[in-house]
Amino acid sequence: MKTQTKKRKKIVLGMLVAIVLSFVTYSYAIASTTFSTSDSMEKNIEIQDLQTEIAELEVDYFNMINNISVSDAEKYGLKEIKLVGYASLDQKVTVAYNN
Amino acid sequence: MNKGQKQFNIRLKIVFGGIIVIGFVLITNLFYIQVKTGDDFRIQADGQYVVATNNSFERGNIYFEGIGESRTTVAGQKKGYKISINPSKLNEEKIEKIYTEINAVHEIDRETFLSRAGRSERSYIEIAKNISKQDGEKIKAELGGYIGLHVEKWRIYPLKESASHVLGFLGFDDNNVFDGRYGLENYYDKTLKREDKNLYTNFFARAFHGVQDLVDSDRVTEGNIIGSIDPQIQLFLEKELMGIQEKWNSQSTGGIIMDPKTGEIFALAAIPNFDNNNFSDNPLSLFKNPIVSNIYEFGSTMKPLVVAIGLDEGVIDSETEYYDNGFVDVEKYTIYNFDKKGRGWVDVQEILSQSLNTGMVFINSKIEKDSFIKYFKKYGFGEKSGIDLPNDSSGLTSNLKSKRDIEFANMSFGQGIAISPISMIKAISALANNGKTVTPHIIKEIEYTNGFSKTLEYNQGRQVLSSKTSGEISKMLVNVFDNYQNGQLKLENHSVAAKTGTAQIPAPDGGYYDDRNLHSFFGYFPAYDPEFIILLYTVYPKQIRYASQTLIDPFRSTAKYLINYYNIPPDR
Repeated sequence: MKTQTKKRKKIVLGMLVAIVLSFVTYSYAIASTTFSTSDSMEKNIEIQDLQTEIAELEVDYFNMINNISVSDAEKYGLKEIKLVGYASLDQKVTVAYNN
Repeated sequence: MNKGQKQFNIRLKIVFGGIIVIGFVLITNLFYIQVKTGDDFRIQADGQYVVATNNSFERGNIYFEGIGESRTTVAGQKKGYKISINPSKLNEEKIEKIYTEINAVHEIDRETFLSRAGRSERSYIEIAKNISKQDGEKIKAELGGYIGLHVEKWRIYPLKESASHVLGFLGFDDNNVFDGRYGLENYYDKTLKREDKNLYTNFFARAFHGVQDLVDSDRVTEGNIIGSIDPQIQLFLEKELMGIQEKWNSQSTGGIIMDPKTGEIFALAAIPNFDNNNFSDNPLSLFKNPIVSNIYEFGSTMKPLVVAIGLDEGVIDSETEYYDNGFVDVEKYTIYNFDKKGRGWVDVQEILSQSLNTGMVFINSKIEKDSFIKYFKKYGFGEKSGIDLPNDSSGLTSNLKSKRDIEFANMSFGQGIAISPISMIKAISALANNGKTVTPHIIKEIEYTNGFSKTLEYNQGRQVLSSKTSGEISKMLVNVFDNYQNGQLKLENHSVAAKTGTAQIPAPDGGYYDDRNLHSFFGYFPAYDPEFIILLYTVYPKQIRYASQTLIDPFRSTAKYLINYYNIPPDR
């Protein structure tokens, strides 16, 4: 009888500890998630700001490449391809490699 | 130990455990305030951090996605400084020094500066805004304590004048609310706006609020928007339009490049335009997007739509013939061809190729009025195009309700009915897309701040014509384009279905101007499985008569650019 009572008390104590620990763990998980969410939102804002800076450079690049004349390109050794050749396959082909 | 003692011990342990938990929570919060956000509070304490009241510095970005899914930020935030002075502590010598040092790095208006600096009763006045980080630090290094430097963020549009009508800008409305004005900034304002975040929220409220946003995809409405416009194509189109505008001294010029199968817009531009970063000196009328909000009588570019109706109804085919005298009488009116000349017996292909008004009246006479009205409504005339931009116009289509034959005769060659350019390209897409219209749109995806993203779906449009009719009209339009200037303008390896239009511009008092025309041109290619449809127009070009003289070359140039850019293989 005495042993049973002791056991029960241990179980009750164990449950109480488990409840407290669960609450602590749960709170930690929530807090950690929230802080991570906050951090990620801040990082996203920083990324967006950096993307804007990159975009300014990109637009300068687009304007440069749109304003290159054929004669400018030829000065750098580039040649205008007047007739672009295309190849097409009319049927499926298989390839076998014999070693 | 008795029972009471034991119970007491248990309760003591519970209380002790509770105290540990509460202590843990408090320590965690303290850690967050001191370590994670300590810098923010430090800056605040130093008086260098200014919180904007309207939260304009936090706003979603607008991206345009080009070839290869490469994204370019076309509306974002830039961080920098604003500069303040304390006029009550400055003498003339210091004021002059401040002006000289600031102006050497960042231009400011001398008169405005001196009038503000002269207000010696004030202890705080802002004298310059939107200073870049580098410039701000240079100025601070020279002037030190004479000025105050405050971090600020502002909206920036890296494309500058490009896509200005599409993007819009931020400003105060009549109710003093700071939000998106015009363009995508206005249409997607709810998505782009960021609510003011309170730094001092209760820990538990913040905790649970943040988690809910993570798991519920519909809960968060704030995000960034991604559009289908390709910045390189946009810049190219604008260069072509600017060329037309300058060469012919037009009143205005515009163009659209769209996927006729999906309605995705690759470029949408109007000249004159403006710089979204610095728009205050422009008249209000400039900010309205003419592609979406202005309406025009497009003239002969409307003819293929009417021919398609005749083909679809089965009242004509490509070989139906008509005797052209050069004019035709409708009620008490006489309608002429553009050159007032007759061609004798012509078939429907010739009517289109030679753009004969008399032939169009003949075709129109074969179509029942009710059918004509039904088809025009199915094309989308008289309703908004559905584009995701504000002030989408329904057009002026009241003549569809008329009982008079002359109105329908006029509408058969594109006069007496006025629609927006975006509605026009929507209707033409039915010719290119197996008889089905599409909903033109710019934004294809929203990325929400909680990590979820949504691909936007648009109304698939209406089946206006049969697939067979679409093929027949496309073939006829290929013949039209191939035969311009005796075949000198055709693209050898790519079939292009196209038509020009030269329409008289209505006069405000009624009737039409004798000497003012609207030139328009549309083309889609490859004609039988099109990937692009282009619409160009120019209003009141000077000292030139026909659209074939103003718009065909820019169209060919744009088509070739797209063919090279996307490596479109030949189809003939």
